[in-house]
Amino acid sequence: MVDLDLIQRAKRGDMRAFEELVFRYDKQVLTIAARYVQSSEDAKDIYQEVFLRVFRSLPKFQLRSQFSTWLFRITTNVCLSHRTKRKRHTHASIHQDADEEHGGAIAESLRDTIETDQHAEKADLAVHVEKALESLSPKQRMVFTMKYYDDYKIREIAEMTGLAEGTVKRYLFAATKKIRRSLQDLL
Amino acid sequence: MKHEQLQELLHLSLYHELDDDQRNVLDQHMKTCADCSAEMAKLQKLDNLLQSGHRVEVTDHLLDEARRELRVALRLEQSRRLRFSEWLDRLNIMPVPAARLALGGAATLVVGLSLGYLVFSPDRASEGIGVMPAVGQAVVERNEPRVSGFRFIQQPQEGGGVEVAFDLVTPVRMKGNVADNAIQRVLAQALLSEENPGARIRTVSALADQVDSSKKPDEEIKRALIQALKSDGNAGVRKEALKALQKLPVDKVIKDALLYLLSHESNPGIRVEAINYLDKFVLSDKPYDTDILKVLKERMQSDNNNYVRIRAKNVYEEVQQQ
Repeated sequence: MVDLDLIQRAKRGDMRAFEELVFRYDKQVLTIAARYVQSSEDAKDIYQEVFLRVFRSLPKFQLRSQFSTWLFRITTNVCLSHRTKRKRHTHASIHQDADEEHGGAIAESLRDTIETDQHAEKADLAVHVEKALESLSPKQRMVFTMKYYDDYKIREIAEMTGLAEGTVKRYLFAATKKIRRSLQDLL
Repeated sequence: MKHEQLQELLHLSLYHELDDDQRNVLDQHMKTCADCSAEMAKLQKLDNLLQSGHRVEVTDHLLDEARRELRVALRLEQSRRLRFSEWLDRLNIMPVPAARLALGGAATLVVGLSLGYLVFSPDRASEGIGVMPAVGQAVVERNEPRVSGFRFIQQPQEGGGVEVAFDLVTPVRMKGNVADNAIQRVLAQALLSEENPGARIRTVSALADQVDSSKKPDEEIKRALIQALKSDGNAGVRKEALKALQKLPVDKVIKDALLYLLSHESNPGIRVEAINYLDKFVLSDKPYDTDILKVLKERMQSDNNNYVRIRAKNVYEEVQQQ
């Protein structure tokens, strides 16, 4: 079934159709959010807010654009206005995220071996990279994470965010410059 | 090509955005330009460094969790929408349009005044808990609402325009017997909306204790238990919800929920409990329910857990032999 049929059914209140529509794109939405906020909890918050906004606004959706274009614009807008619930500037919080992702056994192993040079060095680099990303403006960070970690093309990012391609490039170059400056001691 | 343009190509190469022609131009240039070669080396080093940054992986488990939580949020959204449309329906049955307008205006005024009072009154926070009228046997004490989850939807613009969103949270203390219908309904709501899984487990246990198999179950409580069973993100809550439902006579709604559980539940222990429950049901019901048999057969053939497959097979064969 094409998106259009599902949208029309969902507009009439068919929750199964709405769910099917969500399931077509929700992994992409969650991935964009996860790369942007760097925490599974925050990513889930964004994911939920995106689809609640879609649910509320669907009756007004005029089908002038592709559903996916509309959805990803909402996603990037929600990311940009999102405020993280917890600060994640320390080693501990980054490990906590790793724990959430990989389960108790790995978490235990991480705790046991965190003192080893290899882990400490990796964690240290991760903290530096995260700090460098935090130095970016929300839009620069959005564009950079979509390009660098999600591997979207500049043209796709422009469409998803509603920005001109030139603007996306500008944000991207500015982000790279800032990140290089932040990480210069390690380069 | 100018040097600045070549610098741009260098950066674009980091992002794998060069076409073949641009790649050739850049490769040729780098053979003769030491600066650009050095810049490329630095960018590659930066690339390696950025790869070491930990990023959250979107696993199936994370996606499942997000979907479960979304289902709960959508259900709440729907029930809010339903209450609002019921209110609108009531407004619409008023015979005179002017009366509708007047009532709508009055309601808007009340909401506006209440919000203004909440936001601007300086003494509200210092007031204590006020005792409200009893609901059934339960006594409700309601504290003052407060703003939480405040966020900017649109940051202040040059002309001063701004859009914000927030929740008005009213702390309520309720005292009574857990058998009181009003308390049970609050528990049912909490089961669906409370964020703390520990609190949800205690809530579902309290509800389970009150489920009386000899009486007709309260539909709202039953619905909440089924919803928790199908979509709560915490396995402990789902398990408790299943326990509570086992006290109720199996009807089509519960049967459908169990079948859903067998197909979607990620915890094998809960899948086994669901099979045990269906076992009782399927054996007491003749002719045998083909939906149940079909799902049992599926589990028996394709469940990724050995014990679930064995248990499903036992029940399936037991039925076949009768």
